[in-house]
Amino acid sequence: MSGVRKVASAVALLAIVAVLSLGAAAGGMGPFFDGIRALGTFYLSTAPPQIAELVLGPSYRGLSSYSPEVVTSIVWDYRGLDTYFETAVFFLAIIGAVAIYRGIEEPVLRRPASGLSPIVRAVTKFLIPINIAVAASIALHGHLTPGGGFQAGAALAVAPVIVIVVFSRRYLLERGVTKLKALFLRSVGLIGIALVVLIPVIWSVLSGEWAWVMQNQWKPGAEVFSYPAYLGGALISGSIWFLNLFEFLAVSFGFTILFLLISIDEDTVRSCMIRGGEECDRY
Amino acid sequence: MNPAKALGPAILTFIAYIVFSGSVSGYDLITGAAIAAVTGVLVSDFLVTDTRKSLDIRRLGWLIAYAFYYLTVAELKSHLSFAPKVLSGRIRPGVVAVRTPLKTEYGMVTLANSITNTPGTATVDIDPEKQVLYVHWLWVGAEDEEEIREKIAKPFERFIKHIFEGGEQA
Repeated sequence: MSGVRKVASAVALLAIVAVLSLGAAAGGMGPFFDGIRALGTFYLSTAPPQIAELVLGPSYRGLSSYSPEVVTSIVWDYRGLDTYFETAVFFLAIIGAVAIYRGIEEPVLRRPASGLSPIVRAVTKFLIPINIAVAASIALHGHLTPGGGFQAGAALAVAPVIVIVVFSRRYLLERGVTKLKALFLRSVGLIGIALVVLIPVIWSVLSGEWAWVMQNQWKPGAEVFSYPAYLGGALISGSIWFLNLFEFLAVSFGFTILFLLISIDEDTVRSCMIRGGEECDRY
Repeated sequence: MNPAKALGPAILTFIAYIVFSGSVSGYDLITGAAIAAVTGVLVSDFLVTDTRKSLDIRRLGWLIAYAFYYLTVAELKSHLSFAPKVLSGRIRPGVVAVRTPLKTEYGMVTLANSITNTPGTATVDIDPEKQVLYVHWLWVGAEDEEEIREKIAKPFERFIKHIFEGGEQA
């Protein structure tokens, strides 16, 4: 890296820190609390809309995230920006893995992959749709029950792992679950998250009314913008539902990429075990 | 893409979704149906080889009858015959080859798992080409091939034949 670029990146980093600190100093962090207990009481009594209404009266909506699941409220609403950058870190880790494994060609198959016994294969086939159903249920009920996008993504990523172990990696690739497709779906998830976070700002610029980054329900000082808390009578907790859904996509396919990268073809393992030497040195 | 082919796996997914969610509100039914439709299409080639068989209501009836028979009669009989042997500790273990007329993958696997799940017998391996199951038996009670099949596989095969076998489409 040249000297100019080093200086430029250092200045950019310092500028980001300075801008964030300035925002915090100017009151951009919202109200502060004395001690952890007061903060905990605040979260527990404002996150679920019914309790918030009892505690705060008619002005409750400005401080409620409209989700009865308090942990999800904290993760995606009260400290949402933190989760947003967590997701970015996970994405960078996967980009790093993809970069390390770049340019590795798929080995030519000498014999068809056989996988484990027919008993394990047949039973696994039935577990795949059930696995998808359970993961989707965790994601789509993330605003109501413990779980949410990340946990659901981890649950869905179990499916490619058991297919790789039971049927072989080649089987997954031949059925169209490739690194490129997983990378595409992961990017769709991330772009979705970024959009949900930035829509309040875009709306603010277009309408001239004030709104916060990652705003969910209306807040004191930004009363006009609000994600819909209910859709057709069902509670969706505004942006939390969309963030869970996109995180589900991003995490499950992020893990799928990793599992595809770190697993080795059954054919290669057999060659290594039979012939040894050169075949094994590649891995 | 074949919508009829996807229907079987979609129903399985929908049931799993609703049972896991533990709720039947409008929200659950709509999201469940959407997930079931997508999953059904994605896994249908992986799961279903014969669409007509997967949607045959008589085969489903046989499956329910078999589940009932297996969980009550077959399990009880097997427990009654093996409990004394286990308690007394007098066993005569060995692995026997069981020849079966079942041809389909699902049929053979259902038979293998049915044998494993009753006490006293456990399927060690199956050979789909030779149509043979290798079964570990806690009390080898027969030597003759036909007699072994009679004791271990016959009661299950009667049902499994109706659930998975026959009626192959050209």
